[in-house]
Amino acid sequence: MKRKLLNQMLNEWRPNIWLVLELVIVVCVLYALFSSLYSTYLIYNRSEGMELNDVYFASLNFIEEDNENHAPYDSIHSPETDYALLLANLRSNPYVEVVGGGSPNSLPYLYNYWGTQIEIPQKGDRTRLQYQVNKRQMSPDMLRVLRIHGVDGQSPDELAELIAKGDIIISDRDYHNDPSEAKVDDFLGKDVYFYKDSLQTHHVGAIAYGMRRSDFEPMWSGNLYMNINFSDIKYVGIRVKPGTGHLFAESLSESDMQVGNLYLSDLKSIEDMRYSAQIEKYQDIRNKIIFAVFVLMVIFLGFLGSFWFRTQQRASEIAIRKVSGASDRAIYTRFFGEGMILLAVSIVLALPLIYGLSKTEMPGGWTLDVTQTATAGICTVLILAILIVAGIYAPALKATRIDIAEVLKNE
Amino acid sequence: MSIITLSGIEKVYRTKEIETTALENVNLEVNEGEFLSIMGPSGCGKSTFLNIIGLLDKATKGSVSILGNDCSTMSDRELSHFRNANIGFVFQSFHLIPSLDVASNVELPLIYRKGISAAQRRERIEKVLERLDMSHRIHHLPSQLSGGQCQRVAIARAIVGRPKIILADEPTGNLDSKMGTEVMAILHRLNKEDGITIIMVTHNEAQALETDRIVRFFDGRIIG
Amino acid sequence: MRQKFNQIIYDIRRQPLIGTVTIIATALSIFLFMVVAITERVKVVPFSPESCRDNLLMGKYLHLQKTDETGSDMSSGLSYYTAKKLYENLDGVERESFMEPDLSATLVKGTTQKSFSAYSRGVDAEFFRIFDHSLISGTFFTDAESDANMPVVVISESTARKAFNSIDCVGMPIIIQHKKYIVRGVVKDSSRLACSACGDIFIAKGYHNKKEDVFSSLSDYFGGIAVALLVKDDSDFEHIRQQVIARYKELDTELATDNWKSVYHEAPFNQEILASDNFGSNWSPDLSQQNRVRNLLYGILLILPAINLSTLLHSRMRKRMNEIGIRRAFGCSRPRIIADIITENFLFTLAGGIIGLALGIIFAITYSGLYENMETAGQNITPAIGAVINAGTILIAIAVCFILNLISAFVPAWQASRLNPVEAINAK
Repeated sequence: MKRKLLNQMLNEWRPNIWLVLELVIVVCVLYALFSSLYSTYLIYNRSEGMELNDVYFASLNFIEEDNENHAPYDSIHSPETDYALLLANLRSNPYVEVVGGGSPNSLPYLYNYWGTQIEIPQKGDRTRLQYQVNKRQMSPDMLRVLRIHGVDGQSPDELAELIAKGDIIISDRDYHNDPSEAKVDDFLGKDVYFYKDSLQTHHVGAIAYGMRRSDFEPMWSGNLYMNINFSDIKYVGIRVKPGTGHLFAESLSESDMQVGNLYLSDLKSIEDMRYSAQIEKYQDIRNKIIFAVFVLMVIFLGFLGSFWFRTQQRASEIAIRKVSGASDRAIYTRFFGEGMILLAVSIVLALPLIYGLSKTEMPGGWTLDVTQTATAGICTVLILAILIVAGIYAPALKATRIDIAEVLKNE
Repeated sequence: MSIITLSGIEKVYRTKEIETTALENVNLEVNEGEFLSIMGPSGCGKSTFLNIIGLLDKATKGSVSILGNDCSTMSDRELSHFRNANIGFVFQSFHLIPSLDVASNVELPLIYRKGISAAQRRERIEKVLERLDMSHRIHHLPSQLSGGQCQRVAIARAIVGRPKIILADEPTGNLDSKMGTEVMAILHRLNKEDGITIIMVTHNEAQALETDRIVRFFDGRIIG
Repeated sequence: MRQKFNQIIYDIRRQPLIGTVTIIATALSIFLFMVVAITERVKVVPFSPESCRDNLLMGKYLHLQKTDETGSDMSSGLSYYTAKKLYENLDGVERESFMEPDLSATLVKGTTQKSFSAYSRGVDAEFFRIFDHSLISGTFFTDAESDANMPVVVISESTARKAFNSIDCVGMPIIIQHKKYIVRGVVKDSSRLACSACGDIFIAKGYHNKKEDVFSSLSDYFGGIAVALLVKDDSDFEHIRQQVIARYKELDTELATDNWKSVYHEAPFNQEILASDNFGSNWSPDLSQQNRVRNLLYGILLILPAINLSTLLHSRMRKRMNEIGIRRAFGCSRPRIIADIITENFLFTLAGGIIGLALGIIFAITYSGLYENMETAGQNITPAIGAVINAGTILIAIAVCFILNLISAFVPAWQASRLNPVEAINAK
């Protein structure tokens, strides 16, 4: 049956050629979209190693001396005491679990980047082990706010104690494309120095999980967590009890937000920050999905219209088949079989293009491996097959309901 | 005087496997104002012959001269213009355009002719429909007309451009005898009053005998 | 034309499914195309307070590199000093404003109970002569006030209502980031889509100190300032760029004393570059990749439906083979057949296009998610109606219908014109 169907389709190659051309384009477009979305999903789904919910951030501001509202300091009061009291007030809030301070680089979902390299001092031939990191200065409590864990199971408290005593903590990165590059494990327990600052060494106390700037972006370099000087603190991070975020925000009074010349402003939940940082990625995903839906609608309408017309043109053929004993199922099988053959031919023709696409670096720099490529490809084929069957269903149904006598009488 | 001259006309249809000779060495002269019938059994080449005269099909061999013009060497565009100016067609199945009303169907040849304004087209349409007693159906669709009325509209379409030649392919084939007689009367009137040369393919012996000459075909050749 | 219109109605009645599918497919394609096109246009088409977009250039950054072996590199916003050095008094420029390019989140308190967050921008008095904010009450601040950095502000209507429960607040004090300012005027709210000119609070900010043209400290050259240039109508952007390049060279003479040099990155930027967001402090704008992706998107949005519509038109034409044969018999030439089919199909395309355009416009006006970005996430921003519905939008829609029609109808029309008239007449 299939060979006869194939022969019939070859005899009617003209109308089929346009459908095949359309399908080739659609197969390539859908594959590109699905593989991009799939790679985004793979990045998104990687383990966090920290708990980024029920957290708020506020920027820390200072009323300068030239401001008429500036309260002059004396021997007892200083910016540090203001800060300590501000944090104490926050900790006394019934909804607050822990409060910490950090630099702008200490926050997740911010696109600031303070890059440096850590190097292991070498003697002799002057070659050095180097490792690129994004420097994140934060108070030990900030590690507790973000609940960052060590890769060897260290708790946030243990990591906080490490940086409190002066150690630094580093993380792995997501890419290991170059085998000659230094591995993060090479630095554990070592004394390192920062790029162009060989005067001071820092002890790497642990390897922890890295903080990403976005859930959809792989980490291009490792992270470095280290203690912060008071003067560098620009943000305060607050972990609230689970589910109490809105209660916390409403419970804050003006006096909670200011002590002396220090005040907090621009209080934001981490969900808001995540949304702002990732809005363009959400839009990108949304746009890709809409485009995929559009392309699938085009295919659906194309097959619906084409096969509807074919049903009309082949009315006498279908009538003769039915007269000769063809069941409804046979009619359906013939129609759907035709659609699947068109899809199969299109896939074969599209394969070289798909191969080229599979070698392309995805946005975000993630290249799919063979299994992942095959998964994206199979999804493409399956969804297309479903849409084609959906488009052909109505015409096939119409074909099974042909009034044989009427059609043959007209002939 | 000869208005149509066909010399050595041959028409062969070729596919990959089969070669069919529809016409073989056909020679014919048609005089101006003549009403000619073409008869023969089914498949003898009558309609093919009519299509070649009507410049709808090209002969494989031979020459076609109409109104002193050698049509064998004309380009497609020249043939279209020549047909539009000089030849009208009447078909067995009327072939009115179902989505257009009577006026628009009759107007068809005038749309493809330059130098006639919309007002002039309208005037001609109304005149020709009045002549054929179809003015009262001017805005009807073909589906709203009887067979005889459809054929009258088709004749109106054929003559609105004032052609010198009308080619009619079994014009009464789909009509009952009464309507057929009416249609034949119209054709005879056009031939006598307007001097239009008419070539008609027919199976009806009685109708053929009323024409000026009968040409009989058999297996692609003229036999009488 | 009436004939063609009647034929289309007849066609749809006779083949309702194919006619409906054709119109839906066209409407879908035009809808998506227009949503993309409108979203792109909103970023560049002039609307208040950025009615000057066609004549606007912005100078934003400075990038310096060490010329010695250290290879140090620094890039950031302009200081007032470098802004004036590079962009003041250029030939062809009608007005220049020195302003903060980005909005800052600030804590604001008026006479109402609670303080609230608003977005502020530091600007000079020229800012209001370049960008057409609509004054509701009071005045804009003067050149003298902005040059002296006096604590005066112009606020938006919604800010006035939040701070004072009223727009009658001219002359009243307002606390911004714990500092007291006086309200000089109230303006209508501006859309966040007017990225350069929008804001809730405009703080008077200026600079008139004179610095010597010698290198003293790197920090003298960087700051948080940008320059908005209103170009004269008949001026050439390229002429202005050439002048700026020459100014960069003059700056290099000063920088060379400490082994620094500037790196030029196609400044100042026109609205198209600003809208692309494809530029930075240390790299040149490159719209080619974006344009390629956008053109590919447009291409797919046109070609895929065109193939579909072509197949459907081919089906519709096969139903009308007999008619085409008759037309040919009565003298219609092949080019005329092609022209008639394309023209008739254009009416079909136009019908789908009108539906698609209407849906696209409604979507573009109501769905703020199209315009959100990092800075405006979560806010309800929709464009001014004039930015969406204008002559340009309509022309684009008509052009897209025309191109879509041409691509989809040409091959079936050409095929129909090549039909043998005899076979066509006798076709069932």
